[in-house]
Amino acid sequence: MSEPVIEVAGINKAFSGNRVLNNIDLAVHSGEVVCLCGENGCGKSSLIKIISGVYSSDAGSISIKGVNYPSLTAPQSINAGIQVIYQDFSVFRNLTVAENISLSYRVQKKKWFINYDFNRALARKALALIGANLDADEEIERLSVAEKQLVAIARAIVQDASLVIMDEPTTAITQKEIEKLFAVIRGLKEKGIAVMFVSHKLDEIAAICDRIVIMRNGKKVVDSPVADFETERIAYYMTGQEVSETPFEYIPAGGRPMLEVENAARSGEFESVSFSVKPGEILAITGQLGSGRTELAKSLFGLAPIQSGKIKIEGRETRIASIKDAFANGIAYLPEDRLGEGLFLNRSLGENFSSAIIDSMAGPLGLIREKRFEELSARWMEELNMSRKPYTTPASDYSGGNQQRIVLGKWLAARPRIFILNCPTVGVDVKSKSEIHEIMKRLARQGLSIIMISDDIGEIISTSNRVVIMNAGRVTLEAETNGITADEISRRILADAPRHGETE
Amino acid sequence: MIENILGRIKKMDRKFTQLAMISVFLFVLMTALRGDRFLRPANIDSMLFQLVEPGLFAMCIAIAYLSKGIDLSIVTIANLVGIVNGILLRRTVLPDGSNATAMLLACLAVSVLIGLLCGLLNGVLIAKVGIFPILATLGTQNVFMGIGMILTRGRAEGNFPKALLEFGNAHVGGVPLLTILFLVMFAALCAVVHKTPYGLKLQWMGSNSKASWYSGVDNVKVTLTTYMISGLMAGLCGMVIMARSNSAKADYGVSYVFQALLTCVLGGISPLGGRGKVYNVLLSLIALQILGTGFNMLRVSPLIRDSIFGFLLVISILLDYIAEKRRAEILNRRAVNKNETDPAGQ
Amino acid sequence: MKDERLKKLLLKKEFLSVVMIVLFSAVFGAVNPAFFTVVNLYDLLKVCSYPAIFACGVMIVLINGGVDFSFLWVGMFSAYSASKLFSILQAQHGFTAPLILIYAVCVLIGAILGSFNATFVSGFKVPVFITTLSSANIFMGIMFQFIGSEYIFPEQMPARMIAFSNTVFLKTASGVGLHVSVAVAAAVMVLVHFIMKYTLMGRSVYALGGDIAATERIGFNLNRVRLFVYMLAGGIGGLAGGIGVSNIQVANPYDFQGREMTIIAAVVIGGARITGGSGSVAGVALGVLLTNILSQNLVLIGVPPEYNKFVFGLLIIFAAAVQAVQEKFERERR
Repeated sequence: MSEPVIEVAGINKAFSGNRVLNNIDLAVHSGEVVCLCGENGCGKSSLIKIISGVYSSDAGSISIKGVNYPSLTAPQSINAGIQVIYQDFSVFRNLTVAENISLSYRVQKKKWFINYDFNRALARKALALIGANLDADEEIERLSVAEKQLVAIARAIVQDASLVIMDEPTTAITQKEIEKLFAVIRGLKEKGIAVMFVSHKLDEIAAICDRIVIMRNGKKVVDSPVADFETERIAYYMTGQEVSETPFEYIPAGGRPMLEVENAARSGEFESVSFSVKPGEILAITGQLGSGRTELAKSLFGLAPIQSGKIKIEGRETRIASIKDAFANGIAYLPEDRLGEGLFLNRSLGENFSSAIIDSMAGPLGLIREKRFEELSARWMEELNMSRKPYTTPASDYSGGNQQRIVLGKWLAARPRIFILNCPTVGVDVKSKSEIHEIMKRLARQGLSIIMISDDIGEIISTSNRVVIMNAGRVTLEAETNGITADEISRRILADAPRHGETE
Repeated sequence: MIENILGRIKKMDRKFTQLAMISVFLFVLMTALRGDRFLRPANIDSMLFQLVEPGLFAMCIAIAYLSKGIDLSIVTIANLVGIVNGILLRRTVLPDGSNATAMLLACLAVSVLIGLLCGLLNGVLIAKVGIFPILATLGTQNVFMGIGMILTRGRAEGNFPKALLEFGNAHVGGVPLLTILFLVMFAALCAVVHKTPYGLKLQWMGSNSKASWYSGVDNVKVTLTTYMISGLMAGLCGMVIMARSNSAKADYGVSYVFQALLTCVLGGISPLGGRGKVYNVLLSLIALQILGTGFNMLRVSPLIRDSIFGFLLVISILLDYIAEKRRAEILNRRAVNKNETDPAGQ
Repeated sequence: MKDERLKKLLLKKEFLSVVMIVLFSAVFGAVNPAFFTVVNLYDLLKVCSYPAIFACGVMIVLINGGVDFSFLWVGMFSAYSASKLFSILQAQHGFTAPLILIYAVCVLIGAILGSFNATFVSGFKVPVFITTLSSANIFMGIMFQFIGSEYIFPEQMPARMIAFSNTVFLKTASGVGLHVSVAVAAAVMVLVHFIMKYTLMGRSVYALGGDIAATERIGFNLNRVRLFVYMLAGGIGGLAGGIGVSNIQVANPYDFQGREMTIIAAVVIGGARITGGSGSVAGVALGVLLTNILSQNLVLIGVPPEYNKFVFGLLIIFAAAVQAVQEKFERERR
């Protein structure tokens, strides 16, 4: 085989006490499409950042096209022909499409003066190459997510890349757009460009990749041609364990539902959504990005209230127009972006645990006694199986999985009756993940009503007793999980629903 | 007993020990250099007096910083209070001064009211309209100063009743009354920020406003409260300035803002929000006061003094930055070592 | 289509200042016809000249994502040092420095001071306004301690600077001319506009103000971009200081003191976003013009001068509020 486009050996990296990469060796050859898999938090994003020179590795060597780079910088990486399309796309919100596409080209080619006509021409050419129909003069701020991704792809291919890395490029776009993306990737392959493709979706891996590399806990555990790899084993390699979780068994206790939603709608997001949850149930809600599942969850928490329909709690019709209303009715919400929306990273453990119930913690004179923080922390560290640390420890001293538990504990401390969890195990290590599942099951057995939003079909089957599938803002299926297969769920999620402006 | 105290000191944050050591060092240094003048009761007394105004302004900035904001309008609020009170006193106090005490109490009420209203305006512009704090308070700074100018035509108000000046110079047990009142307020603010639900919400909002919102914190209310407290303290400082200087002017003491920003950063209150302990501000205030008095005695001009303060600020930021980096590096190294001995990870 | 275009125009950040300038001019002109005379216009432009140059520097830093509070001391430091240097050379060695050399020295000193700012800002995770507030004080102290604090009077000033400050052009029939500093300001604006719009470094400033991580990822060296930003802003500040001093014909070290806010406000009123990533020279010109029209002409229509501050404050709040509401509207539209 030819000389590798890139070869890394013995890469190590740690962040404020967490080791994220452990002796990684990897080589990618030209014209090859390599799939990089692994759970969130397995270190693949860090590896990508090291290859692109954004992070420097603590140890190890990197060589690109035979040239060794002792300390690779971002400009060196780009000049050597490595292009990354990040999950957040890394586009400039304040610049136009044309400029976004052409700017990195200009940096690389050291073109010191800007010719806007040239920018536009370059952008149009690149956009045409991937079949995207966008106005080159539009500001990025006004584009949709999929459109932003197209800009990012156009930007990558406009340069003479020899390796294009795509970090989960298919999570935010529709099936049709995925097909287009694959066509683009095949085109790159024909030109001898290597592609590193980050994805977990089996059908995608089989359809487009030559080789599969799986990472787990910062280590490379699989590196094999796709043809020789039993794709069913992917979950085992990713998690490092046979799926051993006992499925959740709901014991019907009778009585009226805790929460009933009838014909709920919010314009442009979801419509005529009805379902109910009984005490002790775990209801999973799933669907593609943009199916309205997250919006539905948020409206139940009062973040963006429903515009029509009814919400009943314990049979009583209730208006939930604000977070305050949700609190008053015992509804808690674990946000998807835990660091961003759930955790006070530089505040203490005690404060984080108490943040949803702080008003009830004040004693005489309105002062809070430290003792309360201590008691509260001790209690929830115990309940959530966390390693004991003083209650004054800042949340930033904990690992991702434990931070997840802190946020969980903060909501449980508020003693909710209905708990909505939005993707509770994304970015959590395997051990913590199954422990979080156990906690959820235990809470349900104690009579809590749980609504879990999730993409993870395995998780849905093993931890919920009922599943609601949404597609294009509507509920397309509601079923008991022990009567449905993973394939059926996945088929229903991906089913092409008519979208706005796509009628023929 | 002693072990207990040592243990407690160890538990205190690094910043506290650092600042305490610097203050003690400066104190000893000044005693060694100019002990005869520095330790004279009159000098100690005047230092205690001089603590009050910058101290009150630093308190305002401290809570604004904690909320991830800033309040540039504080000094102009104080001046506005002085001007309104001055006009009020000039018009109402009888020539024999018999109703002076009553009118001064009225002035106190007016100070509180104006302070709260000005703070409310800042809060509304920031929390409701959505203007960045630095811009909003830059605007109100001009507005408040402008109102003061319009009321006085740029002249100073002065000649306040004797009772006010006597109050300003009063001592209790040899300590200036104003300083005692300031310390009481300072302690109260520490308690409010670090021990009450509001104070914690304030810091959470500064740390991560989205997470605080999701936790049920009413960010708008917290912001309004914060700027109102800031305004209130600035208003009371207006009374202090009246009593201490016997005058009120629309553009008095503009450099106090810089001093307050500096005091808070040196005291470890992060302008990026949600980080720092208010009690440390008192220590940095004392350190700067000793330094300022020292410069005075060594006949360093005020401009050079400000310049040296600027240097101090940059150096302190630099030291914090290096310390933070070192800490992260040590943690990383520890993690790598740990993983090598324990390949299974945590 | 036409609607769309109209909407875009209305949402343009500079639009507000244009409307307000037209509005205020109409009012001032209606109350006092003297407003619409060439003399008044020339006066206005002269008053705007060196603040506008300062404002260009402030804008560059603001686009990059920070509020610079040091620019006036950068300007004074450069101008005072240059004036002192060349006045000594002139008095003791009879060397009459050419104008271009004097201003080149101003720009050079400004750029050097700017590079200090860049070092402070690059290293620390502290808001720019805090670091530049400190550096402003540092510059001030160094100047007073090591360079001087006494006035340099017209008769001691470098002769070419004085001669330059007496130059006018575009004379009217009555012999009134436009001050030469206006031409310098215009030239600087054209240059800054060109740099910010048509060079890669200029665009990198916008990129950094928009998204720091993305800027690094496409291969810019962040420290180099920051060095460019602060050196350019510093150089512009130095030139502005030089022009300011020659306009007044006296190097008075206290002259610019306390005017930071007026100029920063003008830049923001002109539509530069306080959070970085957007701003234009046209907006800066409009903002400076607007603030000076107000401060110069309120007296003309019989408003006493003590109202200036108040009106100025209202103007800042109004402009900032409009921007905030616009941005809220944009966010909700998505």
